[in-house]
Amino acid sequence: MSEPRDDKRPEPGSDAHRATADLEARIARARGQRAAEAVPEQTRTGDLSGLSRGFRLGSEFVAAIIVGAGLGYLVDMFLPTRPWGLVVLLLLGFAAGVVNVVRATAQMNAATAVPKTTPALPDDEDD
Amino acid sequence: MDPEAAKLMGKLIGAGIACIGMGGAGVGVGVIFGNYLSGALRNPAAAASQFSNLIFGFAVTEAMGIFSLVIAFLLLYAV
Amino acid sequence: MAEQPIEPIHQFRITNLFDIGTFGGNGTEGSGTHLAFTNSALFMVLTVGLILAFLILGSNRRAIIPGRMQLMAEMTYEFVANMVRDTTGTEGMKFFPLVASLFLFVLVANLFGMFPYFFTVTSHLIVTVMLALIVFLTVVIYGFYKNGPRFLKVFVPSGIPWYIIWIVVPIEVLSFLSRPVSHSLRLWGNVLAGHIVLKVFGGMVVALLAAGAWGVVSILPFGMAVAMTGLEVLVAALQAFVFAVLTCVYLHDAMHPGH
Repeated sequence: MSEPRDDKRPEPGSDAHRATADLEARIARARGQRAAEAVPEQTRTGDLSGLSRGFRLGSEFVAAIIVGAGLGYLVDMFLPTRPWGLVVLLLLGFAAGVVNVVRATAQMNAATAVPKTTPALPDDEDD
Repeated sequence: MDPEAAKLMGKLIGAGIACIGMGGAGVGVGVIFGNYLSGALRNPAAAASQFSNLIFGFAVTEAMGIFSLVIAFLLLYAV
Repeated sequence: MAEQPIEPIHQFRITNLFDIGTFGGNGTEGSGTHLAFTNSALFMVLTVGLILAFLILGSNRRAIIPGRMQLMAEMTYEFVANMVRDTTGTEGMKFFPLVASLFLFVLVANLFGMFPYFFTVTSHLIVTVMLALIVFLTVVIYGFYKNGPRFLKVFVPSGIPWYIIWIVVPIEVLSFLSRPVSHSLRLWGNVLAGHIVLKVFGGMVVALLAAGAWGVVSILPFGMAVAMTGLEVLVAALQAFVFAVLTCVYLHDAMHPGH
């Protein structure tokens, strides 16, 4: 997306000139295509294998609980709230973990879902 | 045995016993996902609509495991 | 068995190649910060060196009709650029250098780890935590720089009634804070587990071969080790990809808080 570093213009009529004569037009066209491509609002993740899906969901869930428990332990260390900081933040961490899992699954499903615009096969009367 | 050591021993053993509860949660989560999968294979069209129920069941089941984790942490760090 | 079985975590041991010195402290044993050039640092330098050599070799000719090296470099660029563009939109391309550096570093470090006797940089939690923290701090700092206080909207999902906010916001804060943890734990866990499993199967081959007639059975763990090697190469590439994609997803949140 920056200026070409080789700023010597090739001689008009030479091979290199013919190859690059319409380069600007082509770049402009490519940029136009890119801008025209509707950027989906929903973030999408590439297709993942089942193994890494599982690892991803598991680590999202466990990480939130670890963070909750760690924060709760810290809160209890510095405030006279023992044992409630740990209990409350651990439960909140659990909730955050579930939220993480739901969000990650929604992302994965959005990535693998068939776009609605593709013509569906002739269907039975089930919808 | 000196009382401090006895207390520590009780804490550690209690935390270990509390963690058994998480095994139950593991069984429950396995049952839930297994049944979801077999149901989804029988009727894939309905699978997506039941996804929120799946997550709800997973959360409730796993909450039991988390409760025992809370007890274990309480015994270890807060008693 | 006569000799010690091969220790599967020996491969992760950090050794000092040469000492740089001790800084600070009062001169007594164990005080101050001890700096040394370790095997981990050596392989980080090798990783960066390989990436640099690849990209410089690939881009020094800048031919209109690309050669092999240039084609590979361009494909790498296009791959990462498409990933960034797909997840964060065109405006996210200002983070392309960050994402590309992270992706290439993790990818090459993971693949380096697949060579026997090579040290795997990403099998140490501190390395992956630092990488994840770079992303996390970038998100926080850029989010506040770009959006100001509106960045806090990332903790408030749109369209919820006011009386649930008091429950939802702490959950969202914890969920946000758990990102660098899961980001780093996943990469580290995958790499570490894979390498330990490989080493365990390799150790079984050696142990069975040493056990005389039972050596015939060693073909089984050997086959497993071969299969696991293939799987680990896949995991190495996949985890680098996942790391980069999640970086993009988090950066997207920094640019558009409130989902």
